[in-house]
Amino acid sequence: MIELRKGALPFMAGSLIALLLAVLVGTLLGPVRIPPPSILRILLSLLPGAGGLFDGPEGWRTIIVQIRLPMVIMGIAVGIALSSSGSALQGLFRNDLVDPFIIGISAGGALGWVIGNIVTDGWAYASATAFKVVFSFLLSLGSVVLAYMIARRGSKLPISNLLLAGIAVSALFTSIAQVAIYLFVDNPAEMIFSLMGGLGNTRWHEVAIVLPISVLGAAALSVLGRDINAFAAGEGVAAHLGVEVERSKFMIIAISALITAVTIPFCGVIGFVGLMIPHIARRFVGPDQRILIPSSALLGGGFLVLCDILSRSISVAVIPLGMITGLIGGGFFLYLLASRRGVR
Amino acid sequence: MIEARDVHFSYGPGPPVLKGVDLKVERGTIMGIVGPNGCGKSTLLGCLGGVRRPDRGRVLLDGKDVRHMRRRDLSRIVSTLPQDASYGFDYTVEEIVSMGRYPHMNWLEMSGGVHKGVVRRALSGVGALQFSGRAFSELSGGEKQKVNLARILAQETDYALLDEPTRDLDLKSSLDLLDLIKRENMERGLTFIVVMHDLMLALRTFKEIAMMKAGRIKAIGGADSVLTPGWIKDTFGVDVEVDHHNGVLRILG
Repeated sequence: MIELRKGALPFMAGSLIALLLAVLVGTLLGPVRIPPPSILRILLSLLPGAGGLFDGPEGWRTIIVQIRLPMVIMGIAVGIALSSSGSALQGLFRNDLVDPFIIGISAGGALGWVIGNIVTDGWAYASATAFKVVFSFLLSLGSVVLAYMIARRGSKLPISNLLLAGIAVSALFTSIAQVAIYLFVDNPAEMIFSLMGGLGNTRWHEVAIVLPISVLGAAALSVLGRDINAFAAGEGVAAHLGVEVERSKFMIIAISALITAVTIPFCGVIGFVGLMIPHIARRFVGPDQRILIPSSALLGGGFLVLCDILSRSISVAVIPLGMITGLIGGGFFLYLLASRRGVR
Repeated sequence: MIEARDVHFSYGPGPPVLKGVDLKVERGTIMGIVGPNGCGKSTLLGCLGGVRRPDRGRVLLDGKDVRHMRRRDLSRIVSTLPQDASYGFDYTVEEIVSMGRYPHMNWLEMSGGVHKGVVRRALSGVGALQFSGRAFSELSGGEKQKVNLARILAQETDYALLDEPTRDLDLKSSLDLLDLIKRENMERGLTFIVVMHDLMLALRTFKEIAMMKAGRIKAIGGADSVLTPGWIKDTFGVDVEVDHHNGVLRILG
Protein backbone atom coordinates (compact mmCIF):
# COMPACT_ATOMS: atom_id res chain seq x y z
CA MET A 1 0.00 0.00 0.00
CA ILE A 2 0.97 3.56 -0.59
CA GLU A 3 1.53 5.82 2.37
CA LEU A 4 -1.18 8.41 2.72
CA ARG A 5 -0.70 11.68 4.51
CA LYS A 6 -2.81 12.30 7.56
CA GLY A 7 -5.34 14.57 5.87
CA ALA A 8 -5.72 12.43 2.77
CA LEU A 9 -8.52 10.04 3.73
CA PRO A 10 -10.80 12.63 5.37
CA PHE A 11 -10.22 14.85 2.34
CA MET A 12 -11.21 12.13 -0.10
CA ALA A 13 -14.26 11.19 1.96
CA GLY A 14 -15.28 14.85 2.17
CA SER A 15 -14.82 15.30 -1.57
CA LEU A 16 -16.95 12.26 -2.28
CA ILE A 17 -19.74 13.49 -0.02
CA ALA A 18 -19.55 16.94 -1.63
CA LEU A 19 -19.75 15.29 -5.03
CA LEU A 20 -22.87 13.32 -4.12
CA LEU A 21 -24.48 16.42 -2.60
CA ALA A 22 -23.68 18.38 -5.75
CA VAL A 23 -25.37 15.67 -7.81
CA LEU A 24 -28.49 15.92 -5.66
CA VAL A 25 -28.65 19.71 -5.72
CA GLY A 26 -27.76 19.76 -9.40
CA THR A 27 -30.73 17.55 -10.25
CA LEU A 28 -32.98 19.59 -7.96
CA LEU A 29 -32.52 22.84 -9.85
CA GLY A 30 -34.63 23.66 -12.84
CA PRO A 31 -37.79 25.33 -14.03
CA VAL A 32 -39.96 22.33 -13.04
CA ARG A 33 -40.06 21.86 -9.27
CA ILE A 34 -39.68 18.23 -8.32
CA PRO A 35 -39.61 17.37 -4.60
CA PRO A 36 -36.22 16.10 -3.37
CA PRO A 37 -37.56 12.74 -2.07
CA SER A 38 -38.93 11.99 -5.54
CA ILE A 39 -35.58 12.92 -7.08
CA LEU A 40 -33.81 10.58 -4.70
CA ARG A 41 -36.23 7.81 -5.65
CA ILE A 42 -35.81 8.43 -9.34
CA LEU A 43 -32.02 8.33 -8.93
CA LEU A 44 -32.14 5.16 -6.85
CA SER A 45 -34.59 3.52 -9.26
CA LEU A 46 -31.83 3.70 -11.87
CA LEU A 47 -29.84 1.14 -9.90
CA PRO A 48 -30.25 -2.42 -11.17
CA GLY A 49 -33.20 -4.21 -9.63
CA ALA A 50 -34.65 -1.07 -8.07
CA GLY A 51 -36.84 -0.04 -11.00
CA GLY A 52 -40.04 -0.05 -8.95
CA LEU A 53 -38.89 2.54 -6.43
CA PHE A 54 -40.42 5.48 -8.26
CA ASP A 55 -44.08 5.51 -9.28
CA GLY A 56 -44.63 9.26 -9.73
CA PRO A 57 -45.25 11.15 -12.96
CA GLU A 58 -43.31 9.79 -15.94
CA GLY A 59 -42.57 13.40 -16.97
CA TRP A 60 -40.55 13.90 -13.80
CA ARG A 61 -38.51 10.85 -14.53
CA THR A 62 -37.83 12.11 -18.06
CA ILE A 63 -36.77 15.54 -16.77
CA ILE A 64 -34.38 14.04 -14.23
CA VAL A 65 -33.00 11.19 -16.29
CA GLN A 66 -32.91 12.75 -19.74
CA ILE A 67 -32.18 16.41 -18.97
CA ARG A 68 -30.71 17.10 -15.55
CA LEU A 69 -28.72 13.95 -14.89
CA PRO A 70 -26.67 14.01 -18.12
CA MET A 71 -25.85 17.63 -17.36
CA VAL A 72 -24.62 16.81 -13.88
CA ILE A 73 -22.65 13.75 -14.98
CA MET A 74 -21.10 15.78 -17.77
CA GLY A 75 -20.12 18.34 -15.12
CA ILE A 76 -18.37 15.62 -13.15
CA ALA A 77 -16.60 14.36 -16.27
CA VAL A 78 -15.38 17.85 -17.18
CA GLY A 79 -14.26 18.48 -13.60
CA ILE A 80 -12.30 15.21 -13.61
CA ALA A 81 -10.69 16.06 -16.94
CA LEU A 82 -9.65 19.61 -16.12
CA SER A 83 -8.49 18.91 -12.56
CA SER A 84 -6.42 15.86 -13.36
CA SER A 85 -4.78 17.45 -16.39
CA GLY A 86 -4.08 20.59 -14.30
CA SER A 87 -2.51 18.48 -11.58
CA ALA A 88 -0.33 16.55 -14.02
CA LEU A 89 0.80 19.68 -15.87
CA GLN A 90 1.65 21.49 -12.63
CA GLY A 91 3.76 18.53 -11.59
CA LEU A 92 5.43 18.11 -14.95
CA PHE A 93 6.34 21.79 -15.24
CA ARG A 94 7.25 21.97 -11.54
CA ASN A 95 4.99 24.92 -11.03
CA ASP A 96 1.60 25.47 -9.49
CA LEU A 97 0.67 28.43 -11.69
CA VAL A 98 0.04 26.19 -14.67
CA ASP A 99 -3.23 24.79 -15.95
CA PRO A 100 -4.57 23.69 -19.34
CA PHE A 101 -6.26 27.06 -19.84
CA ILE A 102 -3.22 29.18 -19.00
CA ILE A 103 -0.68 27.36 -21.16
CA GLY A 104 -2.88 27.46 -24.22
CA ILE A 105 -4.39 23.97 -24.44
CA SER A 106 -7.93 25.32 -24.18
CA ALA A 107 -7.45 28.02 -26.83
CA GLY A 108 -6.00 25.45 -29.22
CA GLY A 109 -8.91 23.13 -28.54
CA ALA A 110 -11.39 25.95 -29.09
CA LEU A 111 -9.79 26.87 -32.42
CA GLY A 112 -9.88 23.21 -33.43
CA TRP A 113 -13.54 23.04 -32.56
CA VAL A 114 -14.36 26.21 -34.54
CA ILE A 115 -12.48 24.97 -37.60
CA GLY A 116 -14.10 21.57 -37.14
CA ASN A 117 -17.52 23.20 -37.12
CA ILE A 118 -16.82 25.14 -40.29
CA VAL A 119 -15.33 22.16 -42.11
CA THR A 120 -18.00 19.64 -41.10
CA ASP A 121 -20.95 21.85 -42.02
CA GLY A 122 -23.50 19.50 -43.54
CA TRP A 123 -21.77 16.26 -42.46
CA ALA A 124 -23.57 13.46 -40.64
CA TYR A 125 -23.61 13.95 -36.86
CA ALA A 126 -21.31 11.07 -35.92
CA SER A 127 -18.55 11.82 -38.38
CA ALA A 128 -18.81 15.56 -37.71
CA THR A 129 -18.49 15.02 -33.96
CA ALA A 130 -15.56 12.66 -34.35
CA PHE A 131 -13.84 15.15 -36.62
CA LYS A 132 -14.40 18.01 -34.14
CA VAL A 133 -13.06 16.01 -31.21
CA VAL A 134 -9.98 14.90 -33.10
CA PHE A 135 -9.33 18.37 -34.46
CA SER A 136 -9.73 19.96 -31.02
CA PHE A 137 -7.23 17.47 -29.68
CA LEU A 138 -4.68 18.03 -32.43
CA LEU A 139 -4.77 21.80 -32.12
CA SER A 140 -4.69 21.74 -28.32
CA LEU A 141 -1.65 19.48 -28.49
CA GLY A 142 -0.17 21.81 -31.11
CA SER A 143 -0.73 24.86 -28.93
CA VAL A 144 0.95 23.41 -25.86
CA VAL A 145 3.87 22.05 -27.86
CA LEU A 146 4.26 25.47 -29.48
CA ALA A 147 4.19 27.28 -26.13
CA TYR A 148 6.65 24.76 -24.72
CA MET A 149 9.09 25.12 -27.58
CA ILE A 150 8.97 28.92 -27.49
CA ALA A 151 9.45 28.94 -23.71
CA ARG A 152 12.30 26.47 -23.54
CA ARG A 153 15.85 27.79 -23.22
CA GLY A 154 18.30 24.96 -23.73
CA SER A 155 17.55 22.40 -21.06
CA LYS A 156 15.75 24.97 -18.89
CA LEU A 157 12.08 25.86 -18.91
CA PRO A 158 11.73 29.19 -17.08
CA ILE A 159 8.18 29.29 -15.81
CA SER A 160 7.71 32.98 -16.64
CA ASN A 161 8.56 32.07 -20.24
CA LEU A 162 6.02 29.26 -20.24
CA LEU A 163 3.26 31.48 -18.84
CA LEU A 164 4.03 34.25 -21.32
CA ALA A 165 4.25 31.83 -24.23
CA GLY A 166 0.95 30.28 -23.12
CA ILE A 167 -0.71 33.69 -23.01
CA ALA A 168 0.68 34.58 -26.44
CA VAL A 169 -0.38 31.28 -28.00
CA SER A 170 -3.82 31.58 -26.35
CA ALA A 171 -4.26 35.12 -27.65
CA LEU A 172 -3.20 34.14 -31.15
CA PHE A 173 -5.37 31.02 -31.36
CA THR A 174 -8.35 32.79 -29.82
CA SER A 175 -8.04 35.61 -32.34
CA ILE A 176 -7.79 33.19 -35.25
CA ALA A 177 -10.88 31.41 -33.93
CA GLN A 178 -12.76 34.70 -33.67
CA VAL A 179 -11.80 35.78 -37.17
CA ALA A 180 -12.83 32.37 -38.47
CA ILE A 181 -16.17 32.61 -36.69
CA TYR A 182 -16.73 36.14 -37.99
CA LEU A 183 -15.91 35.24 -41.58
CA PHE A 184 -17.31 31.76 -42.01
CA VAL A 185 -20.12 31.19 -39.53
CA ASP A 186 -23.73 32.17 -40.17
CA ASN A 187 -24.67 32.66 -36.55
CA PRO A 188 -21.50 33.95 -34.82
CA ALA A 189 -23.21 34.88 -31.54
CA GLU A 190 -24.42 31.36 -30.94
CA MET A 191 -21.00 29.84 -31.48
CA ILE A 192 -19.22 32.40 -29.31
CA PHE A 193 -21.77 31.78 -26.58
CA SER A 194 -21.25 28.04 -26.64
CA LEU A 195 -17.49 28.59 -26.38
CA MET A 196 -18.04 30.45 -23.11
CA GLY A 197 -18.68 27.15 -21.47
CA GLY A 198 -21.79 25.45 -20.18
CA LEU A 199 -23.43 22.11 -19.64
CA GLY A 200 -26.87 23.03 -21.00
CA ASN A 201 -28.58 20.60 -23.39
CA THR A 202 -26.13 17.84 -22.63
CA ARG A 203 -27.23 14.51 -24.08
CA TRP A 204 -26.33 11.06 -22.83
CA HIS A 205 -24.41 10.14 -25.96
CA GLU A 206 -22.19 13.17 -25.36
CA VAL A 207 -21.58 12.03 -21.81
CA ALA A 208 -20.72 8.64 -23.26
CA ILE A 209 -17.88 10.26 -25.20
CA VAL A 210 -16.51 12.61 -22.56
CA LEU A 211 -16.85 10.55 -19.37
CA PRO A 212 -14.86 7.46 -20.41
CA ILE A 213 -12.07 9.52 -21.94
CA SER A 214 -11.86 11.74 -18.85
CA VAL A 215 -11.85 8.84 -16.40
CA LEU A 216 -9.41 6.72 -18.41
CA GLY A 217 -7.19 9.75 -18.99
CA ALA A 218 -7.16 10.61 -15.30
CA ALA A 219 -6.34 6.99 -14.48
CA ALA A 220 -3.53 6.94 -17.04
CA LEU A 221 -2.10 10.16 -15.61
CA SER A 222 -2.27 8.67 -12.11
CA VAL A 223 -0.29 5.66 -13.30
CA LEU A 224 2.22 8.06 -14.86
CA GLY A 225 2.25 9.83 -11.49
CA ARG A 226 5.53 8.20 -10.55
CA ASP A 227 7.19 9.75 -13.58
CA ILE A 228 5.59 13.10 -12.80
CA ASN A 229 6.95 12.88 -9.26
CA ALA A 230 10.40 12.22 -10.68
CA PHE A 231 10.04 15.28 -12.91
CA ALA A 232 9.57 17.34 -9.74
CA ALA A 233 13.25 16.67 -9.11
CA GLY A 234 14.10 17.98 -12.57
CA GLU A 235 14.44 16.24 -15.89
CA GLY A 236 18.02 15.28 -15.11
CA VAL A 237 17.12 13.38 -11.97
CA ALA A 238 14.07 11.89 -13.66
CA ALA A 239 16.36 10.39 -16.30
CA HIS A 240 18.63 9.00 -13.59
CA LEU A 241 15.58 7.45 -11.97
CA GLY A 242 14.92 5.48 -15.14
CA VAL A 243 12.31 7.74 -16.76
CA GLU A 244 12.45 7.90 -20.55
CA VAL A 245 12.23 11.68 -20.31
CA GLU A 246 11.06 12.77 -23.75
CA ARG A 247 8.65 9.90 -24.25
CA SER A 248 7.14 10.23 -20.80
CA LYS A 249 6.83 14.01 -21.08
CA PHE A 250 5.07 13.69 -24.42
CA MET A 251 2.63 11.13 -23.05
CA ILE A 252 1.77 13.30 -20.05
CA ILE A 253 1.23 16.39 -22.21
CA ALA A 254 -0.73 14.47 -24.85
CA ILE A 255 -3.09 12.84 -22.35
CA SER A 256 -3.61 16.17 -20.57
CA ALA A 257 -4.37 17.84 -23.90
CA LEU A 258 -6.68 15.01 -24.96
CA ILE A 259 -8.88 15.05 -21.88
CA THR A 260 -9.08 18.84 -21.94
CA ALA A 261 -9.81 18.97 -25.65
CA VAL A 262 -12.53 16.34 -25.58
CA THR A 263 -14.62 18.55 -23.28
CA ILE A 264 -14.49 21.62 -25.53
CA PRO A 265 -16.80 20.54 -28.39
CA PHE A 266 -19.51 19.74 -25.84
CA CYS A 267 -18.98 22.21 -23.01
CA GLY A 268 -16.86 25.06 -24.36
CA VAL A 269 -13.87 26.58 -22.63
CA ILE A 270 -13.86 26.34 -18.85
CA GLY A 271 -10.80 27.93 -17.31
CA PHE A 272 -8.94 27.91 -14.01
CA VAL A 273 -10.51 24.72 -12.63
CA GLY A 274 -7.29 22.89 -13.38
CA LEU A 275 -5.37 25.59 -11.54
CA MET A 276 -7.41 25.79 -8.36
CA ILE A 277 -8.40 22.23 -7.63
CA PRO A 278 -4.94 20.64 -7.49
CA HIS A 279 -3.87 23.48 -5.21
CA ILE A 280 -6.55 22.76 -2.69
CA ALA A 281 -6.10 19.00 -2.93
CA ARG A 282 -2.32 19.28 -2.52
CA ARG A 283 -2.77 20.99 0.84
CA PHE A 284 -4.47 17.87 2.16
CA VAL A 285 -2.97 14.91 0.35
CA GLY A 286 0.53 16.20 -0.50
CA PRO A 287 2.24 16.46 -3.87
CA ASP A 288 2.57 12.73 -4.68
CA GLN A 289 0.79 12.65 -8.05
CA ARG A 290 -0.34 9.05 -7.66
CA ILE A 291 -2.66 10.30 -4.92
CA LEU A 292 -3.00 13.91 -5.95
CA ILE A 293 -4.49 13.21 -9.39
CA PRO A 294 -7.34 10.97 -8.18
CA SER A 295 -7.98 13.33 -5.27
CA SER A 296 -8.10 16.34 -7.58
CA ALA A 297 -10.44 14.48 -9.92
CA LEU A 298 -12.80 13.72 -7.06
CA LEU A 299 -12.82 17.30 -5.79
CA GLY A 300 -12.93 18.78 -9.30
CA GLY A 301 -15.98 16.75 -10.30
CA GLY A 302 -17.99 18.12 -7.40
CA PHE A 303 -16.60 21.63 -7.84
CA LEU A 304 -17.64 21.85 -11.47
CA VAL A 305 -21.17 20.71 -10.70
CA LEU A 306 -21.27 23.33 -7.94
CA CYS A 307 -20.15 26.03 -10.38
CA ASP A 308 -22.83 24.89 -12.79
CA ILE A 309 -25.41 25.17 -10.01
CA LEU A 310 -24.21 28.73 -9.39
CA SER A 311 -24.36 29.54 -13.09
CA ARG A 312 -27.99 28.46 -13.17
CA SER A 313 -29.13 29.97 -9.90
CA ILE A 314 -27.45 33.39 -9.51
CA SER A 315 -29.82 35.09 -11.93
CA VAL A 316 -32.83 34.22 -14.03
CA ALA A 317 -30.69 33.98 -17.11
CA VAL A 318 -28.05 31.24 -17.15
CA ILE A 319 -24.60 32.75 -16.74
CA PRO A 320 -22.08 30.78 -18.84
CA LEU A 321 -20.19 28.28 -16.72
CA GLY A 322 -16.84 29.48 -18.02
CA MET A 323 -17.59 32.92 -16.60
CA ILE A 324 -18.31 31.51 -13.16
CA THR A 325 -15.08 29.51 -13.06
CA GLY A 326 -13.28 32.52 -14.52
CA LEU A 327 -14.58 34.76 -11.75
CA ILE A 328 -13.66 32.35 -8.98
CA GLY A 329 -10.46 31.08 -10.58
CA GLY A 330 -9.23 34.44 -11.79
CA GLY A 331 -9.48 35.75 -8.24
CA PHE A 332 -7.69 32.67 -6.99
CA PHE A 333 -4.92 33.16 -9.55
CA LEU A 334 -4.43 36.76 -8.45
CA TYR A 335 -4.29 35.65 -4.84
CA LEU A 336 -1.65 33.04 -5.70
CA LEU A 337 0.47 35.58 -7.55
CA ALA A 338 0.18 38.11 -4.74
CA SER A 339 0.97 35.63 -1.97
CA ARG A 340 4.04 34.29 -3.76
CA ARG A 341 7.28 35.20 -2.04
CA GLY A 342 10.09 35.55 -4.52
CA VAL A 343 10.73 33.36 -7.52
CA ARG A 344 11.53 29.70 -7.30
CA MET B 1 34.01 -1.59 -13.70
CA ILE B 2 32.85 1.64 -15.27
CA GLU B 3 34.94 2.73 -18.18
CA ALA B 4 35.11 5.69 -20.54
CA ARG B 5 36.98 5.09 -23.79
CA ASP B 6 38.04 8.10 -25.82
CA VAL B 7 34.83 9.99 -24.96
CA HIS B 8 34.19 13.16 -26.93
CA PHE B 9 31.23 15.42 -26.25
CA SER B 10 29.96 18.84 -27.26
CA TYR B 11 26.67 20.62 -26.56
CA GLY B 12 25.00 21.05 -29.92
CA PRO B 13 27.17 23.01 -32.33
CA GLY B 14 29.25 24.48 -29.47
CA PRO B 15 32.95 23.86 -28.86
CA PRO B 16 33.90 20.39 -27.61
CA VAL B 17 33.59 19.98 -23.84
CA LEU B 18 35.19 16.54 -23.63
CA LYS B 19 38.11 15.88 -25.95
CA GLY B 20 38.90 12.23 -25.60
CA VAL B 21 38.50 11.11 -22.00
CA ASP B 22 39.77 7.71 -20.91
CA LEU B 23 38.85 6.60 -17.43
CA LYS B 24 38.57 3.30 -15.60
CA VAL B 25 36.99 2.98 -12.19
CA GLU B 26 37.07 -0.43 -10.54
CA ARG B 27 34.16 -1.72 -8.50
CA GLY B 28 34.35 -0.95 -4.81
CA THR B 29 36.55 2.11 -5.12
CA ILE B 30 36.02 5.83 -4.66
CA MET B 31 37.34 7.99 -7.47
CA GLY B 32 37.55 11.73 -7.03
CA ILE B 33 37.45 13.93 -10.10
CA VAL B 34 38.95 17.38 -9.60
CA GLY B 35 39.49 20.24 -11.99
CA PRO B 36 38.77 23.91 -12.49
CA ASN B 37 35.31 25.24 -13.37
CA GLY B 38 34.18 24.43 -16.89
CA CYS B 39 36.72 21.66 -17.46
CA GLY B 40 33.97 19.13 -18.27
CA LYS B 41 33.66 17.29 -14.94
CA SER B 42 29.85 17.40 -14.82
CA THR B 43 29.55 16.56 -18.51
CA LEU B 44 31.76 13.52 -18.00
CA LEU B 45 29.52 12.44 -15.13
CA GLY B 46 26.51 12.80 -17.45
CA CYS B 47 28.18 10.56 -20.02
CA LEU B 48 29.13 7.98 -17.42
CA GLY B 49 25.56 7.96 -16.10
CA GLY B 50 24.22 7.45 -19.61
CA VAL B 51 22.08 10.62 -19.79
CA ARG B 52 24.49 12.29 -22.22
CA ARG B 53 25.46 10.45 -25.34
CA PRO B 54 29.11 10.90 -26.38
CA ASP B 55 29.68 12.20 -29.89
CA ARG B 56 32.53 9.74 -30.16
CA GLY B 57 33.89 7.02 -27.93
CA ARG B 58 32.08 4.67 -25.60
CA VAL B 59 31.07 4.25 -21.98
CA LEU B 60 31.16 0.67 -20.77
CA LEU B 61 29.43 -0.56 -17.67
CA ASP B 62 30.79 -3.92 -16.58
CA GLY B 63 31.74 -4.39 -20.22
CA LYS B 64 28.37 -3.39 -21.69
CA ASP B 65 27.96 -0.25 -23.79
CA VAL B 66 25.50 2.03 -21.95
CA ARG B 67 24.17 3.19 -25.31
CA HIS B 68 22.51 -0.19 -25.74
CA MET B 69 20.96 -0.28 -22.27
CA ARG B 70 17.43 0.78 -21.44
CA ARG B 71 17.10 3.79 -19.14
CA ARG B 72 15.36 1.74 -16.52
CA ASP B 73 17.95 -1.04 -16.49
CA LEU B 74 20.70 1.55 -16.33
CA SER B 75 19.07 3.29 -13.38
CA ARG B 76 19.27 0.05 -11.38
CA ILE B 77 23.03 -0.01 -11.83
CA VAL B 78 24.08 3.65 -11.78
CA SER B 79 22.58 6.44 -9.68
CA THR B 80 23.46 10.10 -10.02
CA LEU B 81 23.20 13.08 -7.73
CA PRO B 82 23.41 16.20 -9.90
CA GLN B 83 24.33 19.64 -8.63
CA ASP B 84 21.60 21.61 -6.89
CA ALA B 85 19.13 18.73 -6.71
CA SER B 86 15.96 20.50 -5.63
CA TYR B 87 12.33 19.46 -5.78
CA GLY B 88 9.25 21.38 -6.76
CA PHE B 89 6.40 21.21 -4.22
CA ASP B 90 6.54 20.09 -0.63
CA TYR B 91 7.56 16.48 -0.89
CA THR B 92 8.51 15.00 2.46
CA VAL B 93 11.94 13.54 3.07
CA GLU B 94 10.53 10.04 2.98
CA GLU B 95 8.66 10.68 -0.28
CA ILE B 96 11.88 11.88 -1.90
CA VAL B 97 13.95 8.94 -0.71
CA SER B 98 11.16 6.64 -1.97
CA MET B 99 11.78 8.02 -5.45
CA GLY B 100 15.02 6.04 -5.35
CA ARG B 101 12.85 2.94 -5.50
CA TYR B 102 11.09 3.92 -8.74
CA PRO B 103 13.50 1.99 -10.99
CA HIS B 104 12.69 -1.15 -9.02
CA MET B 105 8.91 -0.79 -9.08
CA ASN B 106 6.47 -2.37 -11.49
CA TRP B 107 3.89 -0.28 -13.26
CA LEU B 108 1.24 -0.27 -10.60
CA GLU B 109 3.44 -1.02 -7.63
CA MET B 110 3.34 1.42 -4.74
CA SER B 111 5.94 2.30 -2.15
CA GLY B 112 5.17 -0.25 0.56
CA GLY B 113 6.54 -3.68 1.38
CA VAL B 114 10.16 -4.37 0.57
CA HIS B 115 10.60 -0.82 -0.71
CA LYS B 116 9.63 0.66 2.63
CA GLY B 117 12.33 -1.34 4.37
CA VAL B 118 14.99 -0.17 1.93
CA VAL B 119 13.88 3.45 2.31
CA ARG B 120 14.00 3.21 6.10
CA ARG B 121 17.48 1.68 6.01
CA ALA B 122 18.71 4.41 3.68
CA LEU B 123 17.21 7.10 5.90
CA SER B 124 18.75 5.71 9.05
CA GLY B 125 22.05 5.17 7.24
CA VAL B 126 22.46 8.91 6.76
CA GLY B 127 20.87 9.79 10.10
CA ALA B 128 17.73 11.29 8.58
CA LEU B 129 15.17 8.95 10.06
CA GLN B 130 14.09 11.39 12.75
CA PHE B 131 13.07 14.03 10.21
CA SER B 132 11.68 11.68 7.58
CA GLY B 133 8.23 13.27 7.79
CA ARG B 134 9.38 16.85 7.29
CA ALA B 135 9.15 18.80 4.06
CA PHE B 136 12.42 18.69 2.13
CA SER B 137 12.25 22.42 1.41
CA GLU B 138 12.44 23.22 5.14
CA LEU B 139 15.73 21.41 5.72
CA SER B 140 19.19 22.93 6.06
CA GLY B 141 21.69 22.50 3.24
CA GLY B 142 23.52 19.73 5.08
CA GLU B 143 20.33 17.85 5.84
CA LYS B 144 19.20 18.18 2.23
CA GLN B 145 22.36 16.57 0.89
CA LYS B 146 22.05 13.74 3.41
CA VAL B 147 18.53 13.12 2.13
CA ASN B 148 19.77 13.23 -1.47
CA LEU B 149 22.42 10.70 -0.55
CA ALA B 150 19.76 8.53 1.07
CA ARG B 151 17.81 8.69 -2.21
CA ILE B 152 20.91 7.38 -3.98
CA LEU B 153 21.34 4.62 -1.39
CA ALA B 154 17.70 3.61 -1.70
CA GLN B 155 18.24 3.15 -5.41
CA GLU B 156 20.56 0.23 -4.52
CA THR B 157 22.85 0.65 -7.49
CA ASP B 158 26.41 -0.63 -7.88
CA TYR B 159 27.75 2.77 -8.88
CA ALA B 160 26.91 6.25 -7.58
CA LEU B 161 27.96 9.42 -9.36
CA LEU B 162 27.94 12.56 -7.22
CA ASP B 163 28.41 16.02 -8.69
CA GLU B 164 29.93 18.41 -6.16
CA PRO B 165 27.90 17.04 -3.26
CA THR B 166 29.55 19.43 -0.78
CA ARG B 167 29.27 22.56 -2.89
CA ASP B 168 26.84 24.48 -0.69
CA LEU B 169 27.77 22.90 2.62
CA ASP B 170 29.70 24.29 5.55
CA LEU B 171 32.87 22.51 6.60
CA LYS B 172 31.34 20.27 9.24
CA SER B 173 28.45 19.19 7.01
CA SER B 174 30.90 18.54 4.18
CA LEU B 175 33.06 16.31 6.35
CA ASP B 176 30.01 14.46 7.66
CA LEU B 177 28.75 13.81 4.15
CA LEU B 178 32.13 12.62 2.89
CA ASP B 179 32.44 10.32 5.88
CA LEU B 180 29.03 8.86 5.05
CA ILE B 181 30.21 8.25 1.49
CA LYS B 182 33.36 6.51 2.72
CA ARG B 183 31.35 4.37 5.10
CA GLU B 184 28.86 3.26 2.45
CA ASN B 185 31.81 2.41 0.24
CA MET B 186 33.45 0.32 2.96
CA GLU B 187 30.35 -1.41 4.27
CA ARG B 188 28.41 -2.03 1.07
CA GLY B 189 31.12 -1.82 -1.54
CA LEU B 190 29.20 0.92 -3.35
CA THR B 191 31.46 2.48 -5.99
CA PHE B 192 31.53 6.27 -5.93
CA ILE B 193 32.72 8.73 -8.51
CA VAL B 194 32.70 12.14 -6.90
CA VAL B 195 33.28 15.43 -8.69
CA MET B 196 34.76 18.06 -6.45
CA HIS B 197 36.68 21.25 -6.93
CA ASP B 198 37.82 21.71 -3.34
CA LEU B 199 41.35 20.29 -3.39
CA MET B 200 41.76 20.23 0.37
CA LEU B 201 38.63 18.13 0.85
CA ALA B 202 39.69 15.95 -2.08
CA LEU B 203 43.08 15.35 -0.52
CA ARG B 204 41.45 14.37 2.74
CA THR B 205 38.86 12.09 1.15
CA PHE B 206 40.10 10.31 -1.94
CA LYS B 207 42.78 7.70 -2.38
CA GLU B 208 42.37 7.84 -6.14
CA ILE B 209 41.98 11.00 -8.12
CA ALA B 210 41.56 12.04 -11.73
CA MET B 211 42.54 15.60 -12.54
CA MET B 212 40.79 17.23 -15.48
CA LYS B 213 41.62 20.30 -17.50
CA ALA B 214 39.89 21.62 -20.62
CA GLY B 215 38.05 18.42 -21.49
CA ARG B 216 40.90 16.02 -20.88
CA ILE B 217 42.20 14.01 -17.97
CA LYS B 218 45.67 15.38 -17.24
CA ALA B 219 46.62 13.04 -14.43
CA ILE B 220 45.10 9.99 -12.81
CA GLY B 221 46.23 7.71 -10.04
CA GLY B 222 46.87 7.75 -6.32
CA ALA B 223 46.24 11.02 -4.54
CA ASP B 224 49.94 11.39 -3.70
CA SER B 225 50.89 11.19 -7.36
CA VAL B 226 48.12 13.47 -8.69
CA LEU B 227 47.70 16.16 -6.06
CA THR B 228 51.25 17.39 -6.45
CA PRO B 229 52.38 21.03 -6.63
CA GLY B 230 53.38 20.45 -10.25
CA TRP B 231 50.05 19.11 -11.48
CA ILE B 232 48.07 21.62 -9.45
CA LYS B 233 50.12 24.50 -10.80
CA ASP B 234 49.67 23.14 -14.31
CA THR B 235 45.91 22.59 -14.00
CA PHE B 236 44.67 25.30 -11.65
CA GLY B 237 47.46 27.85 -12.10
CA VAL B 238 47.97 28.09 -8.35
CA ASP B 239 51.16 27.55 -6.34
CA VAL B 240 50.64 25.12 -3.47
CA GLU B 241 52.59 23.07 -1.02
CA VAL B 242 51.32 19.57 -0.29
CA ASP B 243 52.13 17.41 2.70
CA HIS B 244 50.60 14.04 1.89
CA HIS B 245 51.76 12.47 5.08
CA ASN B 246 49.67 14.82 7.16
CA GLY B 247 47.03 15.48 4.51
CA VAL B 248 47.74 19.19 4.36
CA LEU B 249 47.52 21.40 1.30
CA ARG B 250 48.70 24.97 1.66
CA ILE B 251 48.27 27.78 -0.84
CA LEU B 252 51.46 29.75 -1.38
CA GLY B 253 51.66 33.45 -2.05
